[in-house]
Amino acid sequence: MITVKNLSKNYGERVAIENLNFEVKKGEVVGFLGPNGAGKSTTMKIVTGMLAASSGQVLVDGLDTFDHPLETKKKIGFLPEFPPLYEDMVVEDYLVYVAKLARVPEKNIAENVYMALEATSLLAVRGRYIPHLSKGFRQRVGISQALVSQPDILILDEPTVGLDPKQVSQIRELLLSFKGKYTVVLSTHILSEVQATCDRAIIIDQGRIIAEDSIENLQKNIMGKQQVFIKVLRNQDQVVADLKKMDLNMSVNKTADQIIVELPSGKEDLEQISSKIVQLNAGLVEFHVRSQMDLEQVFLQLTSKENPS
Amino acid sequence: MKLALAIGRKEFLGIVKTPMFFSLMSVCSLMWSYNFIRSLLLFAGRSMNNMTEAVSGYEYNIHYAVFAGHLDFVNFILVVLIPALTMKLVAEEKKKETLGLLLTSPVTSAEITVGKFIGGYFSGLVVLLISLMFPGLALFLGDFPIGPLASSYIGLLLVTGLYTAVGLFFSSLTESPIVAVILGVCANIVFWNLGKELQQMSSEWMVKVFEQISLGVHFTHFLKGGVALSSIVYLLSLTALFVYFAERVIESSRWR
Repeated sequence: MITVKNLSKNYGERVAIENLNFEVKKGEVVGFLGPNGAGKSTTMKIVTGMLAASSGQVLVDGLDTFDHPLETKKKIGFLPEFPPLYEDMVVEDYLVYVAKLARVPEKNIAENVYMALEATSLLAVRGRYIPHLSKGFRQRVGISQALVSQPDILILDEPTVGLDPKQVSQIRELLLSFKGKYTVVLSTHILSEVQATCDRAIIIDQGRIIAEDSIENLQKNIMGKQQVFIKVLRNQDQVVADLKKMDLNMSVNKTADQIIVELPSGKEDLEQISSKIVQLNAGLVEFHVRSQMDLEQVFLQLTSKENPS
Repeated sequence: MKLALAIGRKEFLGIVKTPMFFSLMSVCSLMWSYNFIRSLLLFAGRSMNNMTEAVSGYEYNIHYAVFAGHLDFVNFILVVLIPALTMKLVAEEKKKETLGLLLTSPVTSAEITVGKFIGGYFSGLVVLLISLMFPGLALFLGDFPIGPLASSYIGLLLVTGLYTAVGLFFSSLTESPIVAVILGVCANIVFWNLGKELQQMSSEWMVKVFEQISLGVHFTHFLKGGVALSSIVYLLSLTALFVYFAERVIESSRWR
């Protein structure tokens, strides 16, 4: 549905994205994940035709977005980072205007607007002026403007940023309801959002893709490791030194009050480590094993690899 | 074109459905009515005094004695007011990041620009309609040839278009509506006065060139009852040129 080939964008000397390649298949919900300034919004803007790329190509349903801007834009509903809302309009008039901009045939406009209002639970506030709405409702209006043309693809850039936890969970429920109806690209730096809603994640950092896989595979391959959190009462430095000397494939790090050991899954190694600490009589008070890292840890691990600072 | 009209309608309502527009129109009406009635009474008094004498001259022709002053005043207001009405057309969209909606919709930059121009121009027409109220009432009360008045309003329709295009262009250049209005007013004043001061200091051919460029000179033709094709072509071309510039600026925002 979306194919991105060798996409690069420079802002003067600064390279925003470099040689991106990825594909989003029909019906997929893909998380586009990266820290702030990684190039997510730039990529979304290029895919939606808001920005031109410095080089490379974006194909939407086989059509080049540069050569066929009108046809490809018709297929995409876009919610930018800041919802593009007009402060002098009421919700329903705004959606009618957006539908007209999206070239929805006149006879379908009322139906599409009703559908978008219903999908985002905005029917009760359809007659309210946009500036009178809360941030959560405004975000929903932003989502409904992306839906109003009934596009095949939804591109949502940071849809839950700045919302309170209740509003975040409401928007997430809404995103879940889109599964199977639309091809969704969700750009975010909030990992739990991707974990909760997406089938696949593309992780981007400093303008380059550093990982791309299903959430399950990312967890299995990159995080087929376990972490052990150890707290001792005495001789923490000695314990760290002795653990490091052990002939095991593991990394040992210490924080102010605990030792973190990262090693491949398996119980034998755990037994050796625990025996060692007991032998050292260091006053073992906590030995907590976390068998799988969550996406947040993978993300931090991947992005810190790329950016050691 | 249909989309341009939809954009134009939205922009027009966005301009005229504001307390600011109503306030500005009230102030304009007050100023125009004071000025118009004063000139009309002066003209009536002078005419009564000279009723028995065979007189001629501009001061005894209602068009020059009353309407010309009113039309000059209307034009002066338009020079300042139109940039104020058009200042938000693009600048506000950039500032509030709503331009992205237009750029990601299946709409061409030309449709966006023409739509914005239509919205701004029609709000200018509302101003002209209000200004027409005064000579209209005089026409209702008395009987006089309306030719020069009609040609003057054709001139006003054309310069309103130009002021709108200039305002739209400057609005597209900046994110600040205030900067847009200042630049727009300055540009209008320059266009208006281009031919005036140079007449004394430049060579003859320069004077001729600047006469052709000056809005003041062209508008005077309309005010005197003439509808010169050269003036119409000049004003329409200049309007189209500024709309084109605005379109280029909007299109270029995709490339920055």
